[in-house]
Amino acid sequence: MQSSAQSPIRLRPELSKLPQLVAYIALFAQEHGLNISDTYALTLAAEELFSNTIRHSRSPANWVLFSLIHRHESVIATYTDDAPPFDPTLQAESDITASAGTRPVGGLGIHFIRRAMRSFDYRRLDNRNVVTFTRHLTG
Amino acid sequence: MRVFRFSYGVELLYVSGIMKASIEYVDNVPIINLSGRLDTLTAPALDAELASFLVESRPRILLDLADVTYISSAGLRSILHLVKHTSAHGGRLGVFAVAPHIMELIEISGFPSLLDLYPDRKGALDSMHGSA
Repeated sequence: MQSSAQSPIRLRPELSKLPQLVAYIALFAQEHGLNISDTYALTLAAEELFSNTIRHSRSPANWVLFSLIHRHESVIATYTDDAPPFDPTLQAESDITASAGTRPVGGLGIHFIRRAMRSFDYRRLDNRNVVTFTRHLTG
Repeated sequence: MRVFRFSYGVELLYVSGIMKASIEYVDNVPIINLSGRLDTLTAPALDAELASFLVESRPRILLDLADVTYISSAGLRSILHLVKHTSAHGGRLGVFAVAPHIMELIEISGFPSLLDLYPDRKGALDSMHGSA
């Protein structure tokens, strides 16, 4: 099976590090010829998980590890942090049919990941949260 | 954060180095022009800047996304605040010039039922004048 990986990026979970995460994905996308739609979807998903680590961890995570693998017509992303257990795949489905007045303002990021990715999985492994998602490339 | 206000009806708000926002008025219709990235870093600053703008009742607002290259879920929340404001005042938010890759997010999030989408500025303004 042909696959091509990029060395993982390790970040402190701080909002100021978000541009580094974005740049990492942009470089991968450039090297692998990803179109703007796929690049956008991967970036949005990674940003969502990164902001969740920062905002929702009951105790602060010390680090985040993120990697991308290009395999055939898909990109497999692995997002790992050392925060307390948190499974984003269990987040309640966002009600996208609610009216403007009652539409909840949260949950849209996870909703997008569920819809835009072929898979979205969580494991707790060695006291780490490990989230993987796969984007089936559109171009 | 630097804020520039011009007496001839155009306000320029420099929110950050990677996103800019300005408000202009065309025939009394406010148009929020955004450029750059609307993400976890920039959306809270935009919300803060727009708070004073939204103190007044504004049932009609247009949002120009022609120069927006990226919107995250945090950016969607900023747009949803505008949706809720216009709706609460008996109107509806109009959005125009959305890039195709961002349209995927807009559609997946169910926003087309909450706001009016136009291909360009002219179409948006024509609609506003037609409904005035």
